[in-house]
Amino acid sequence: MRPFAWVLLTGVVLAGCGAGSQSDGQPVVFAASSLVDVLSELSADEGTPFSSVTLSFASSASLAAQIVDDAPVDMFISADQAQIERLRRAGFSDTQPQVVARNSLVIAVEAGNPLGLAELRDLSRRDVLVALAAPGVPLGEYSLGMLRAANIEVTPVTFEADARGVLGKVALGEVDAGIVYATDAASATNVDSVVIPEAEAVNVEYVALDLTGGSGAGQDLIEFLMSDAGRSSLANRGFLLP
Amino acid sequence: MSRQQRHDARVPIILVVLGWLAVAFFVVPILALVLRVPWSSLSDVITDDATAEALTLSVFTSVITTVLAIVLGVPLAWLLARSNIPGRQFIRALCTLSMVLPPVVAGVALLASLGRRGVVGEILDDWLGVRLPFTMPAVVIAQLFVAMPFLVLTVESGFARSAGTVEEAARTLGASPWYVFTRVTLPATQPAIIAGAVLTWARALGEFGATITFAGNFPGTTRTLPIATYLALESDIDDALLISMVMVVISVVILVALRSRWVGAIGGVR
Repeated sequence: MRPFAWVLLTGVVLAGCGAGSQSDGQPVVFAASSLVDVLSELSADEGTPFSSVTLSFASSASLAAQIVDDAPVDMFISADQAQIERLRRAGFSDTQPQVVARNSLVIAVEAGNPLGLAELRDLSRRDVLVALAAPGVPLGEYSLGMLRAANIEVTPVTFEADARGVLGKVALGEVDAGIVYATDAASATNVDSVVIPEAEAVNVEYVALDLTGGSGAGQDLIEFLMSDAGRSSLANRGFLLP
Repeated sequence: MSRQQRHDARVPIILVVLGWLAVAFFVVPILALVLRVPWSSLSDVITDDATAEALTLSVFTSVITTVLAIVLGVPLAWLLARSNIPGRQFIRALCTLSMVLPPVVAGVALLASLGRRGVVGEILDDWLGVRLPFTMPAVVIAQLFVAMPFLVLTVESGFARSAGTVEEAARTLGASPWYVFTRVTLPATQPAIIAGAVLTWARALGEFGATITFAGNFPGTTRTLPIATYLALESDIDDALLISMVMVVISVVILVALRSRWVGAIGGVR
């Protein structure tokens, strides 16, 4: 019954269809979509343990949902603690979660910043179309939390399903601004970042959880991310280190 | 097709086996879903304002989409089936391409054409001050783009199948082309139009990728049921399952109701 429900769910999760099939026996890693660039780079490098894993990216929340529904996964990296807590409540508590990287929030604007947006408060201007990530998605929670803490009211035109959705709307010029992860904004073309002091209070943590019970491939992968080589790859992509 | 023929004992066994395998393929996941759904919290989810809002929006937009698909799709199907326009095959391929595109790509295509920076959208914005993305019309446009080909193909084969002899007779008796079309051709094609409209409506109701890409997601304006379901998956799977059940029930009720109203019409069988 449960596998069937899971198969069906993957169908429902159209855009998040990142279920690991494990058909070739490789370890499967589920990771928050903002880690696409750095982990893909690592998996292309023969010298790292990531060269022999199957990577699957989606929003942390939909990945966590798939793991709860018995998706075969060896390691999970979430973009927030909440999803890890959810997994631990669901019984995935054999191993301790570890913070492997941190990120920051910026305002993504069109290249050249034509509207001259300079601070978070500018997002509440009437002439500025804003995209935010949806509540429930880690990026959405971080963004909305930051706006609340700063007591700034923003009415977005759209709540996107993940970080890439927000960035895409900015890159295509359909909105004027969006709140995204600093690393995503830096790697995107056609997009500039506006650094905001309010983001310093936001603690975006990437938390890795070994799902193999502490013995298998999951732990090796986490140890690699925390090694000098892993840390320098993360730093090169603009991630902050724990 | 008579009852006698349906029970013909000489039906190839391999067809029966494969046919029932196909039935299981469709029924098992739906049954699994029904079993998995936490029915006890059904009333909470159904009476939830956010779900009701998404449901209303989905029904409203998918019905408008279906009406527009008939208004535009029937003439297109007629052009493809009956006229001698050059490059007909090519035009047909172009007009049904959106069926095979990943819906998200269809959404990007709509942004590239009708978005604020799109080829046409920029003109709309500059001349008329009209911006389509993130509006309810954008939801309808996304659905229409992805779903109308289902009607076009069904109706086209309907036009092609209904023989031209009756129309020819009407014409020789002095009927105008418009009279022939509305009084002879259309009635003969009605089952195919209904079948195509139902397919289009069902596809529109479930549309997700093109909608969230072109229209975005905002409660009450562009958050349809499939989008609400997807977002609920982020926070609460049980809610997502219940919302998806609402869609399943609506679809089944309507498909069954139509099926018994126009027996044989659905699927273009005449």
